Amino acid sequence: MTELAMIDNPGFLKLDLVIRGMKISRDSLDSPEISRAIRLSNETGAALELNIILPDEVIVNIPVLACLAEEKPYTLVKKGDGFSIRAQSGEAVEVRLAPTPQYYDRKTTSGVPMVRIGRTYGGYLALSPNPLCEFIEDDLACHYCDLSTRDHRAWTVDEVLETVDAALSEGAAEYICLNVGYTRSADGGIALLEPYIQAIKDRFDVQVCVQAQPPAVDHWIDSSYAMGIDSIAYNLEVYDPQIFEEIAPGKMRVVGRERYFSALKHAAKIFPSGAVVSNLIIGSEPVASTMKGIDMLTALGVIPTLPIYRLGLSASTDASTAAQTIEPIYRHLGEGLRRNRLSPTLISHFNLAFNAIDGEYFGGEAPIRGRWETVVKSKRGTRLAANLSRVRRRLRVRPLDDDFSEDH
Amino acid sequence: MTGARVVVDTRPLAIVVMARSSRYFGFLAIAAIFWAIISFPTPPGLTVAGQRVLAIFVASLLLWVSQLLPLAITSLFALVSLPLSGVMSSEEAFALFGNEAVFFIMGAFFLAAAMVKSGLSSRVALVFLRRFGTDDRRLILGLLLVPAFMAFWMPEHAVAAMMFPISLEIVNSLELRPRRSRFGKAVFVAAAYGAIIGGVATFLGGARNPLAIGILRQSTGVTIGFFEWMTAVVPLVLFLLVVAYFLIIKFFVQEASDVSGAVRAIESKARELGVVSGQERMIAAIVLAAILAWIFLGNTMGLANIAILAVVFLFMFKLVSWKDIEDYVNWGVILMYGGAIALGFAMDSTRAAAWIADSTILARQLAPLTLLLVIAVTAILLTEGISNAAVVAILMPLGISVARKYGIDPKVITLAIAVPSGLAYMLPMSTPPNAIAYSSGFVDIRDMVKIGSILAITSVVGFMVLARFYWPLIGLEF
Repeated sequence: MTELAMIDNPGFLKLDLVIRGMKISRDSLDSPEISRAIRLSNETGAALELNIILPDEVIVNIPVLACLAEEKPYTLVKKGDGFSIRAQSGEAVEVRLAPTPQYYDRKTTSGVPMVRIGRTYGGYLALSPNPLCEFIEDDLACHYCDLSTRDHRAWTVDEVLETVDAALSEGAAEYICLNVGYTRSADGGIALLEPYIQAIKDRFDVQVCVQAQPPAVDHWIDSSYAMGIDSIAYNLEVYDPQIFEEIAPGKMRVVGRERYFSALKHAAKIFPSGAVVSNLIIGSEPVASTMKGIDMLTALGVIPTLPIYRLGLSASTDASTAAQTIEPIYRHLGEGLRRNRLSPTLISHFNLAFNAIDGEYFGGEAPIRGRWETVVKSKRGTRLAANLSRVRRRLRVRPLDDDFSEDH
Repeated sequence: MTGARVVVDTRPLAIVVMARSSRYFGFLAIAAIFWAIISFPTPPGLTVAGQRVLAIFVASLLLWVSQLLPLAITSLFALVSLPLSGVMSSEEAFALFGNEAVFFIMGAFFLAAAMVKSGLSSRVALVFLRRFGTDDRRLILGLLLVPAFMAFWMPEHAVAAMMFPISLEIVNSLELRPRRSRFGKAVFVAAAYGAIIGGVATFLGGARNPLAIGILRQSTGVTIGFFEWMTAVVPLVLFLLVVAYFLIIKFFVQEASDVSGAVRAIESKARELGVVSGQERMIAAIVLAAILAWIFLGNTMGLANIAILAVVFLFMFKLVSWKDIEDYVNWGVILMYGGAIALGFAMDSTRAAAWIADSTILARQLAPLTLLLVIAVTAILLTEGISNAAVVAILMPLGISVARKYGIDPKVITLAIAVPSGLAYMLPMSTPPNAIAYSSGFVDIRDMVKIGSILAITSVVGFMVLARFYWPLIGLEF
């Protein structure tokens, strides 16, 4: 594939930018947006990223600091009032910088910079209110995990609420994504998030996604839905059992691979169709294994998301080679979703990672972009979705002493 | 929410919506039936006011049976519907709420609260039970007779609740296993049936009895005295206790069991209570005085007056606090009875009940004994499905009209409704003593249906024999 073709295809360009990175030109560095991002990064200690909007509204996320040092195949250059990305060949494509949210400059009432509590990635606000993870304490941390680098205390509910309020008020996010580590309790860690979730759902018309480890018992999955979670991710990461143990020893030895499947299967029955998600990291295992994982997950009613394993790639990796590798995976994913009647609309907010929505750029087939994606991502659409989700929950969730189950 | 168990209904959403909406469909259907009855041309023999009361009665009946609303709220609905439909003024309707039966029930609840809170009721139960527990059959006899006797003087649900920890102590001391132990089933079934059977003996065992008396008095001016009721019903109670004992022994106690552990447990529990406190003695004296007054002075002093006076004495001597009363008294039941009495009075005064009696099977010239059988069977069947107080509220207005039509003493009809409506043996949801026995984990529904159905049939037979041969001897003619 030529560089021109590469730069004209937003999916390929995103992939190439993820793999090989991008440099920021000197004139761009002087622009208010980027200089503000660098200043914030220096002031708060937060490793900030640039969210760059490519054609077709495809968003790519690039760490700012990584753009400052080495030579890269792409350069972000200033063009008039806007920006473009220029390849070494001289070809360029116009892009926009997703504005760095205003609330990044604000502090909570307790004095914590809000940017340390939650950051926006495209359409969603990501928060890890409690950094506890017993995998790390037991020296069983997942190899790709950066949780160990976080040294913050558990944020209070009020601090999280202030941050969410600020992000939603300025329209910086329309979806909340909470992340939590593992605890050796029956709930697997989800109970740590419960007060935050309930407070968020009580106060805002917004959907909440959670990334957690599977709880030991299924009733905590029911409780997770009941407490207000709209979409749940139990990330398997790798299908191959041996590689799974190498990459995620805690997940394999403490939780168990089979528990991921059984928990995902149960969650798919409890949550709305398309709201149960699991990562399969492309590049971490052979393609055939990833495809088996896709088959397994989609058959369970789970939507696989496909992040790229950056650590396994080098800047010299040829994007077209990478693209050739992932093309059959996306084709396979599209088939799996269609076969199991799964719509990726609900996860369209997670547009930074590679997921089914991006498949159209690699599969060469009709787009599998959710038909209602545009509606769902609009402000009214997100509010409507949150309220419909609330109604569904009220209809389906009952205290255990209700004996409707006898009708089953 | 943490730790709270929920279930997520995973059926197709359309079915979930239908299931969750059934309540509102129920309300709509009841409203439609109400409207249809109001809108029909008034049939011959029925007044316009009677037609409106009939619509309120049918709506209330459906709400009581379906339990779409709490019983008390349905009664309040009936109460306010009477003035709103122009049947009577607000003053008249709310004045009916001040019926003597309502205050008698309230006073009886207060007295029972004092007995439970002071530990007096448990002490009485244990003292009597100690005299029985020498072998397995005597222990079961004790577990049947003690709650039966207690339910003469306090509400049967309170007796069942009080007996539950004692029964639990017995099965634990004998190391009996839930579901599997037949003797364990016998322990809990005996305690439940004892409370149920004993609960029909006086006005105090179940508030449905005063409710029936209240409707009788409000509609006819006739009443039944405390002693008169006991005289009429206690023989049936004794007969049913004997039958229940032999049924329990036959079904659950086929082989001799060593109950020495249970005897020790009862002794130990009795010792835990320590010596009789002054508070218990005082409460016992006041309750005893109230019972004697109900028996000997009930007709002259008034049952409610005696009850409330006894409560005043309890407070005068600081034997009970208002907090104790608030914790214990079921105010919903009191509200329910007020509304039911008002509706019963309206049914009678507008002749709506008489019109129903004239228009149904009851219009046929049945022999009085057959009529009594129909009423008793209806009551005992209904009480398995709905609250026994609701059965009384539904059947009493009709029963009084039928009594007039047939020239039967309305007291007889009142007993034919109130006594069988208290005898719910078969289902856990029928009455609190059954629910408590079921909650033990020892008794399953099949056990209750099996033994309960035999006891229900025996109850109807015993009731009919009593009515035919014994009641005429004490002046209850029909």
